[in-house]
Amino acid sequence: MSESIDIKHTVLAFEPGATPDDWDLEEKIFQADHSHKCPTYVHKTPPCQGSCPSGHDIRGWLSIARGMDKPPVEGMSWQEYAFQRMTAANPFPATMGRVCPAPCEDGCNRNEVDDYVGINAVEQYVGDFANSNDLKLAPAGADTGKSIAIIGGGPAGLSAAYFLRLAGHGVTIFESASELGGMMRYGIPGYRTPRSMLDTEIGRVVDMGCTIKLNTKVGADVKIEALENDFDAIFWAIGAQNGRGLPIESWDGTENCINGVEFLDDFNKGKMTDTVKNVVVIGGGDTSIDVASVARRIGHIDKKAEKEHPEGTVIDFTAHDVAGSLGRQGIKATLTSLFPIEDMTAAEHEREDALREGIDIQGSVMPLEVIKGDDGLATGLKVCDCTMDGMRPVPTEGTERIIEADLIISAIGQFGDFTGIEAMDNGKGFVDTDAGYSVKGKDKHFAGGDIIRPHLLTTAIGHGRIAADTIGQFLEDGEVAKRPKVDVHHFNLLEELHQRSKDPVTYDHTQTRGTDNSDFAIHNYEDRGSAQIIPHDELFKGHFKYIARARRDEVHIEGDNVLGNFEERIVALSEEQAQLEGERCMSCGMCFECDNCVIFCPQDAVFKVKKTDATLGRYVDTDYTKCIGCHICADVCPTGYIKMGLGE
Amino acid sequence: MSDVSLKEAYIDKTRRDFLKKAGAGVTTLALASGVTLMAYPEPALARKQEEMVDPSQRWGLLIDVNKCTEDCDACVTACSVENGWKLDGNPAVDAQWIRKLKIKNPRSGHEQTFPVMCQHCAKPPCVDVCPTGASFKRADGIVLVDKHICIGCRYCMMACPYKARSFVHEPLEEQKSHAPRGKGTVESCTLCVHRVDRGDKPACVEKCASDGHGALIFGDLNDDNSEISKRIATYATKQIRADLGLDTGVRYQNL
Amino acid sequence: MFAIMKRVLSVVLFASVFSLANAAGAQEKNTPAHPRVSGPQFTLPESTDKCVHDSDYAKTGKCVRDTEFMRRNHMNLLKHKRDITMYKGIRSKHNSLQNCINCHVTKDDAGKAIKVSNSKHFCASCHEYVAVKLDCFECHRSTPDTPASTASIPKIPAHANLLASNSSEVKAMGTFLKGVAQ
Repeated sequence: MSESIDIKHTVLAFEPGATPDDWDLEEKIFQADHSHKCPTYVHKTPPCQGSCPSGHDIRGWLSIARGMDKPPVEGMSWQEYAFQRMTAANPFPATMGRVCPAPCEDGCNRNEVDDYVGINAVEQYVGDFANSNDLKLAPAGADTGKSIAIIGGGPAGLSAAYFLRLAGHGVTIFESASELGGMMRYGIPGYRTPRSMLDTEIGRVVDMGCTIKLNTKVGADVKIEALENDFDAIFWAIGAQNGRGLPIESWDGTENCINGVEFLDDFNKGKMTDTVKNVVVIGGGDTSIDVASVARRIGHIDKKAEKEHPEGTVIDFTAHDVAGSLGRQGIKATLTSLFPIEDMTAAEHEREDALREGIDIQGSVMPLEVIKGDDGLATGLKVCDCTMDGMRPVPTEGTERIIEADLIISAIGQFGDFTGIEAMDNGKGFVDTDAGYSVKGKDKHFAGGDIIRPHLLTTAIGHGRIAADTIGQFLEDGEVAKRPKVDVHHFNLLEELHQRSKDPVTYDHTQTRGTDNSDFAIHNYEDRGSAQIIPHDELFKGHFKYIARARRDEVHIEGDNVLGNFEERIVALSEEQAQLEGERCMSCGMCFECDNCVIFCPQDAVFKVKKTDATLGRYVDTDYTKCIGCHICADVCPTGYIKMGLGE
Repeated sequence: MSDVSLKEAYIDKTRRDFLKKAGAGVTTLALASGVTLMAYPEPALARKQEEMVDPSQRWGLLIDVNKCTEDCDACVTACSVENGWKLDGNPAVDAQWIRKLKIKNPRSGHEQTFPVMCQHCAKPPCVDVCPTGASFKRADGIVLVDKHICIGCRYCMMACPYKARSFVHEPLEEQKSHAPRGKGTVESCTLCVHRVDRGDKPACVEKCASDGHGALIFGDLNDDNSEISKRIATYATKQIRADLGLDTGVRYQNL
Repeated sequence: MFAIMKRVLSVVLFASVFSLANAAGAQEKNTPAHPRVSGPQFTLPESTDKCVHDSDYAKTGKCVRDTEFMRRNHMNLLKHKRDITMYKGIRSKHNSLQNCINCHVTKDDAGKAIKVSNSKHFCASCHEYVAVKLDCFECHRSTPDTPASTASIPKIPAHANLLASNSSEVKAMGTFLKGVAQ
């Protein structure tokens, strides 16, 4: 009979054979039978926030969802408070909740326990709540008299506009299309980003007092010099509007060989033709994979969980959207990729979804030649199987075949359209900027979004936020400070105390004794949020039971029913589910009021702070006269908030 | 005074030699086939005092619950005499080396009593959590507290599933020289390591046998020829809370 | 004045002896570095006298090492030897604290051994003067062995085990042998 079950211990003071001598200098607490350290409270950034390009205070709004962080205003719903916290970093939660590949979930420390927290799902829920309940963004700041031109009304441009308005600067958006939204509207199809939702979210930003100039293309209708004269700063957010064509014979000049960006643009403007029957889409990008792997690296995560938004995991986003749109039009689409997809589990889900909608994904296939008919239009694409040697495809002999197609779409990369504004081009189709998104070599010019590097929606929004801050500093005195290492929104204890009217007493600048008890200071708290991300091995994960993640339902449409169906596929969480997801959050790096330290302290030295003085992050305190430095509280703290210190 | 202790050492040595010879003598008598006398001192027990602990050995106990009666606590008394502790009648702070437990099957009404002491697990949770490394497992499987570095935090007491450990709250006097114990440290059953190291059995085992019950058996679990290994191979035995996967060195028969 | 100089000199000597020892890297026999020894691994310096097992103090006037060495290093020896006993189970005479106590005993007028609480105790006499707190005797006895302190459950004679056996044959044998022994 087997009696020894292999149970994973998550609290191991020593590896077998190791002693305190093997610990890091920082961790050395004991000298034989006495200790010279006591607990201090150290705030660090969790990897979800650390990997979010828009810099959401994710832990913050999840603690609002779980009910721990209560709204400071009587009668405010938690959703509204969470919406305020979300929009402090990103003004489009409903959109993000639908299309963001969520690198936060890849980096989530809970991956190492059971499954990541459904951060994206909660974001969608709150975004939808805000839309249905007509919540507003924070009001614009006091007018500074400055005026900034934003070129491009896409996510980067709108985000920059939002943050600049919050700071009180005047904003004018120049948009070459007839509606705002950029790739959110013209790149991503309506069944992923419903137009009414877009209108509501974008409308909020516009309502903050932005001047909008639609159907105005800079370079054609307006010249750069005019902008430089009339505005104090210029932010370029023109996106990557040009698609790369296939580098094969007979591509150029063939009318029915187009690139994905063009196609989506036409599609979303309602200009699709009905005569097309067979389409081949060539797509091979891995934007999403690289984002996920960066997030996992930040969080030291080894376990991979099934992704909620598998689009873009293997096949380029654009390609996926293209194929999806085609499917719904009843057009048979074949999607090809240079990379093999059979062995990637993430791709299973994507492939199944696609197949269900009538799209056939073929991996390890490379395009060779466009086969043209007599009228000069393409009739098919010659392909063959291939293997990848790094980034170069190596054709496999004898596997050539022709796929019939009357429309061939290439979705293999994008770059900027610099017609009329060639001065901004860095020669490769993009704009060069520094870390703060100032354009290199051009004073007063800033840039963000796909024009720097085609990437995610959330990345563009993050650029807008940082650029707005940089522009603000530039307008003030021309000096732009170095960005912090972890450049996201952080929990700020002083702000939190202020919000709850529990600020420390003002210091009266006289000589005092007994400063360890003084109430003009916050004691034994260290804020390392802007410098350090807390990895999962600093948490006491044994505290968490296995709780399944609340999954969003998907409406599965089969085969022929796909035709003409442009409804959203994802069904949002309910309020209860969103709150339960909030409770799954492990609150890495900040106290989440579990009482473990109070329960386990053998000396009764750790106590709960009086309700009248307590706030988030000031929930427990230590009586240092009773503490023996045994570090049990630091061991059992599930969030890694307690660290032993004070003794050096 | 020093002469006395030296003499004792010599006496110990010669007594052991004498017993060895006596044991050898016993086994030359004709016996029914298949019967093994437990009297023969097992070679594994006799280790020289200057030698290090043998890591190929693993000490364990086998307790036959059927031989344990409710009114007998000879093992507990023996342990308290051997190691110099006593119960003060206050369960919250009393010393805990070995105690008798009584369980009752709620359906059938069947009752059993048996002693529980430190289970000397192969994967001891007390060792895992000890912040200083004072709680440790010796190479031969005995789990001990190194009171020189114990800081008295009681984390091991929290972690032990068998509540085998206790904390000394009061200053102590007149400790046994072979079992030092003091205020501010945690203590538990040591499997009478001072006896084991000179080749004897733990006090509880010895007393139970001399009282005629023979409910406890001590031996080397890694030695297939030892009495305890043979018994475990023959009869069904179990560990308490085997589901925790700690691989205890103490096993129970007929529990 | 001279006393102070002597003390300073002894401190300097100690420091130099210690550093010499580390440089020499001398190792005691039977004691490879054990993983659970906390603190720096102490290597004992060579002294002018050899370690004397089971010493006859009356004959040689020394026990473990000479007095000067012991004065400076007894604490390190104690720590080293306690780890040997705890982690390796080596309980020989020169690793036993009780053995030191058994010899280093001061008796009062009535002939009773003095405890560490009395400043005439061997260890207390010096430690009180230098104001270094002792915590050995929180757990260990500070007086030599008495019959009470060494009292142990007696090892039972061989035949008693036989009486406890299950087999009736063996039991019969046991009773027979008991008679023989008596």
